Amino acid sequence: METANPCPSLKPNEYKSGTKPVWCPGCGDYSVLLAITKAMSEMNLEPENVALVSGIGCSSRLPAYLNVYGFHAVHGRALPVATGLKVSRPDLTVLAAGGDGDGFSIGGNHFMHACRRNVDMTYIVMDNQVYGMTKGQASPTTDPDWDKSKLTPGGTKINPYYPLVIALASGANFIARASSTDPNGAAKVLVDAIRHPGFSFVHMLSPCVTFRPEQKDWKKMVRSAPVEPTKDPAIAAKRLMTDDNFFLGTLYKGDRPAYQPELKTTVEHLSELEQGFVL
Amino acid sequence: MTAPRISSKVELLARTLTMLSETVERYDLFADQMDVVNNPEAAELFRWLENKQSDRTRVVQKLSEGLTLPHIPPWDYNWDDAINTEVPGHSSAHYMMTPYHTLTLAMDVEQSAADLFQQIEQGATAPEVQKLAHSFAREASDFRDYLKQKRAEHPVPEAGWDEDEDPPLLLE
Repeated sequence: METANPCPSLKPNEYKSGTKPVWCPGCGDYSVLLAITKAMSEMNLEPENVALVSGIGCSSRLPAYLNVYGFHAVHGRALPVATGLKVSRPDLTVLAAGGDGDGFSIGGNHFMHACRRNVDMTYIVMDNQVYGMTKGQASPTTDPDWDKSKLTPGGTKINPYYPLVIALASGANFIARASSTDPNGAAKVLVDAIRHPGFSFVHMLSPCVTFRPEQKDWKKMVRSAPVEPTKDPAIAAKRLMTDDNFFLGTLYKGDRPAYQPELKTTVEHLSELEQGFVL
Repeated sequence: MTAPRISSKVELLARTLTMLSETVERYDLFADQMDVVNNPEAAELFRWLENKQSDRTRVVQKLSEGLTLPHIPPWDYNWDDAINTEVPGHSSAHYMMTPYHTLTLAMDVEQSAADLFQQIEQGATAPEVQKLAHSFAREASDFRDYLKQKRAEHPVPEAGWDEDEDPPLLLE
């Protein structure tokens, strides 16, 4: 297999920090953590050469559980932080992660522009269609008739956000969907996403068993997309517009060159930088 | 889903070791989770299960001594994570789960392991693979029966066991 590594130098659990996750028992994010560690192990990534930046929310606790460099950023702002990091340190493997509320609502604008900029990094959004950390409110990807939140009695009646379509229209260079119900399959998608140049977006279905217990059924609903990845945006658009949200796999692999500005040293000594802050 | 056709003893050992070690890690994680949500009965049972699986892992490690086991990428474990392997699915856990649920989860794990090894045995052509898969299947089956006996010591949960008027709030 193309992506197989004959001999990983670190086992998946060696990428874990030792801090025990505090997600609810049954949360899909545990499997996403597992998939990320498996992907890093298969790619032989050195922990000191990887950075994971997150926003705010249950899934955004990920950096604490890994022994790679991590930054738990401001709500919705994982992508600008990750963009700045990658642009200034192109040698690093940069991952950004968060949930659907963080990524598509609070950080929705950053999402579009990160896709457009096409900086070489991978954005993993763990989508459970709910704000779990604040006890279960409708998020941008929630179905319009979900009425279990007291904030939206009768449902939101609002058309949900289609992240893959938005990603394609905005210029993401790699678009895939994976599921926490299949961490091994998700690991493969992540390896492909990290290796692909430019902005890679991985839509990760990750059930919230506490506030959306019905999402346990996702396990029976997900299936492999019966298509090969395309690099033709028109074909991808048609594919994504007819997608039912449960097809897994890589759906689009563009060939746009990644954005990486030339780095110029503007200061020779730290003292010059400090001068800029003198009042 | 069908089990993979396994052609050599080292491949079977490599796959079995990965499955067992992941199960140990998963039970450890479940135990920690139950500690966090103040469910000591489930936590204690998960730790007991973790120890049992660790014992089995050591047995398979012993069988693997002196052999070079192949590395198998995760995505080549072409069986479903929680249906056909020993690794219990995360979604099987619940913060209010009772000992009955905990043991049911573990029984499902053993049943799926027994089924898997049985399929491997049936699909294998090498006698040493058949023999080893047969012994693994039997061991899983025996342990499932033991867990069933143990589960009978606990009451069957009543309907609504998972209703919670004050669901958890994850704090930053």
